[in-house]
Amino acid sequence: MNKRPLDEQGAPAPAAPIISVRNVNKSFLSKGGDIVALQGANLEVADGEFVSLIGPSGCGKTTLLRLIADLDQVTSGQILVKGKTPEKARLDRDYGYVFQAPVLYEWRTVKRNVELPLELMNVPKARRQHLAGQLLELVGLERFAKHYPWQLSGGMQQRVSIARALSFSPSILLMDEPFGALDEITREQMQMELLRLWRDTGTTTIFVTHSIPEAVFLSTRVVVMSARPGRITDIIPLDLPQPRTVETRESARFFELATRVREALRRSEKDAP
Amino acid sequence: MRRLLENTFPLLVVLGAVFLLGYPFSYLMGYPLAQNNLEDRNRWSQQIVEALPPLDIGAPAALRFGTPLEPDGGLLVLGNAPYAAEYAVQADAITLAGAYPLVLDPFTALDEGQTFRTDQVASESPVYLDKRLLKPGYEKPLEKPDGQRVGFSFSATDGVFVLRGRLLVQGVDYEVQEGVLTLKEPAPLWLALRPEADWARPLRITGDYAWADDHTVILQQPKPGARLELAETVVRWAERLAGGVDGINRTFTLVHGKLVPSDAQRQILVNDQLLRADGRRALERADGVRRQFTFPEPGGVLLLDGKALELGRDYEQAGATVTLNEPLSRRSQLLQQDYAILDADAGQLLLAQAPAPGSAVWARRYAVYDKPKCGATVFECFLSLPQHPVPLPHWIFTKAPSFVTRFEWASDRNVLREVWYTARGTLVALLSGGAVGLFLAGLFVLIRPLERAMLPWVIASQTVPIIALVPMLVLILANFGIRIQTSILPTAIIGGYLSFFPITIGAAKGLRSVEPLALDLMHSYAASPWQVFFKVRVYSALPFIFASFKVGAAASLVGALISETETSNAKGLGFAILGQVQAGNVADLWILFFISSLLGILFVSAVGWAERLLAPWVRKI
Repeated sequence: MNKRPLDEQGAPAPAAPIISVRNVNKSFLSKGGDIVALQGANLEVADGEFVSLIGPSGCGKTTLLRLIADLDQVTSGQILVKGKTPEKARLDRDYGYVFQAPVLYEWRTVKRNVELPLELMNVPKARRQHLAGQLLELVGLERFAKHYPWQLSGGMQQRVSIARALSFSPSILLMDEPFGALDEITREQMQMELLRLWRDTGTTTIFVTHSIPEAVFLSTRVVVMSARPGRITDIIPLDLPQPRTVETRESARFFELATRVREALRRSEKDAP
Repeated sequence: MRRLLENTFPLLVVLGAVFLLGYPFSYLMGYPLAQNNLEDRNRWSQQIVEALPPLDIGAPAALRFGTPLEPDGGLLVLGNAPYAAEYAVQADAITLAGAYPLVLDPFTALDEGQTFRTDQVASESPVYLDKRLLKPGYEKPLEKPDGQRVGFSFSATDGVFVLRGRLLVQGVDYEVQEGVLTLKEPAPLWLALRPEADWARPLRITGDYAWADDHTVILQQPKPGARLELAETVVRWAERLAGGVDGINRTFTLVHGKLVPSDAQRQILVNDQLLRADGRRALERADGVRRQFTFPEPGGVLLLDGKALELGRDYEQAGATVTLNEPLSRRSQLLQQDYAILDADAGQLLLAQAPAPGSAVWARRYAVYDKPKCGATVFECFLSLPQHPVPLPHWIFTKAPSFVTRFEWASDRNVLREVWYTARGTLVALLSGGAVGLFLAGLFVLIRPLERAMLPWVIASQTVPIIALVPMLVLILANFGIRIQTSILPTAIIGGYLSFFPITIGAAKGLRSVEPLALDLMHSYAASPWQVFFKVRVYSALPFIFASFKVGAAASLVGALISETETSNAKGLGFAILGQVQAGNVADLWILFFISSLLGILFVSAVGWAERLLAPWVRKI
């Protein structure tokens, strides 16, 4: 896994963004007329960044992520991933996607689940077993390689799904509320592990969440969104020092930034038409 | 061990409950039949009362009859006519004034004095052994021969068994155990061409002798050197019917009581004229409007549905033509007889013509029905049924082993062999139906428009009555030179035809029932449609596919059974079931029913085992 130098200050992106979202609108057809899920979204993410999307339910966080992943297509506007269309980026397997649910295939063992993307890419068997083993070690589940998903706890399952998303070393990691269903303790553990993985792999990460402390603790930037219609209302750079530790959560700066995000969220609510 | 107990306990409770509930159910289902056996006089024990032949013909001057004789209640007859001779009655003997007319026909001994043959055709004429009257008697078994049956039930097993004019030898021809005679060779098929021909079955001789065929008499005890004679003409003491013979009275009474209209044994005579009790039909058919009917001959009593009509009140008569006062309904039966039964319980008869003064009205022979053969109550009659419509539960278990061992393994009729044949057919049917079903399901999921085009036809295919399809299939296959007797193809086609439908529907449903996120994930990996199909769809469909295979397995078995009944294959459980239906063996039918059910359960469980083996990740609740 290639390490990239990190911007210690979490400063805004340099000139060549790895992901750029320009004037993106997305509406879904429905019986009672079109529903506008996303309106005039603009965002640029630099290589190696950790960007969180935060906002109330229905603000289009997941939609934006799915548009970047080419799981849905834009109604208008443009998205470029590594300078390519999302579809091209998907076909080039430029990103790994972690869903809200672990989405593990129950007929495969943990290890074979991690191997799945490699299998689809026709990686030789020995190589993919080696890689999967490494990934499981990275998420601390090497002992559960032969287990079936239902034999694992929710947190472990989500870790497997993160390992799977990273198995083919994508340059981008898209995560859709991966810790939403976990309890607080597991959640904080997972956050620490995710940060460690991010530092170790240098993977650009876009992280959808509705938890302010999570967004502040993990990210280099937080994108604040509001609902009806879904749009980006604020982008807040976070200058918490790296690497972040348990103490980070208790620092004054952490609370200050968290308050800023909270105020931005509140403002966006008020501005809503 | 504990787990095993926990798993089997509920099953045992259910089986026990079913077993116990089987008894009241069996009784409920058998009640109408048992009640009929109790009430129908035709099924009562029947005693034939005949004009008595003398016990001893050694001294013809005094004829002894063995019962006290009442001069008023009887008369002497010779053949079918009253015997006009002077005689004196003393207690149980009669002394003839003149010579005794006697024709005796000697038998030829065929062996050491047990089997005898005569050129005469078997008759009711008395048989004398060394001038002394012999008492005939035999017992019929409960079962009728079907060409295959070897076991016959009797009330007792001592004595002599005969079959078709031949004395059976124990150890050589038969074995006997607990009231069941087991022949070494099956008894030949019994054809009811002559209802009186009881000797088509094995018989047990209970009297001194029995006719074993048209010309053969077999004694119970061998009497070497004895002289056996058939008395063709013998003076008998016959019963006179009570009633005034005055030229006006037409009502007479058979004092021994209860009569049954269908009694074929009854012979009532006026002098030497036998009165006919078999109904004569009118030349015209009842159409619901017609009132006038013509009979082949004039006279007679008219019976409407078994009840005597009264001249003048109910109808008018002109020669052989009668005119009813009411039109005859189409469902009614109008019969003309020489006499009618007025009161069956009292033995009262109505004669068509009043006998002329001085004639003798007498009964040569009749049957007395005294009590139900089966017992005193419905319950007893139920228990004595040779086979219950729903057999008693324990019966299945006691008869099942002999059912399996009845035919040796090499025979096509061995039940295990038939099970094997049907199981093989079912398996082939399931596999072929499964292959077609999976192929269609795959096609439907991969090419959506194809489903819209073909699914209505697939559904329509299941509305075709399978019974109508089989003979057609047999004809078509015969055109291709495929011999039904040896080929498993019709079974495979019919069973496959029935099983492919649930498998198609189940598998298509399964292939579609992938979680959307699972598909999104594959999409995010830029997986090809084939990869999605074989790495995700197939696996998520497996639980559905196995469930549909369970349904398909049951359908395959039904198809296999149906094809076996239709293809004159003479193999398999289907054919065996058909055979038992035709033979009317209810109990064997039930055993076959249980065996087929077990086979079905086995097949469905086998699919379950395959699922556990091939899809171990599917969690069992």
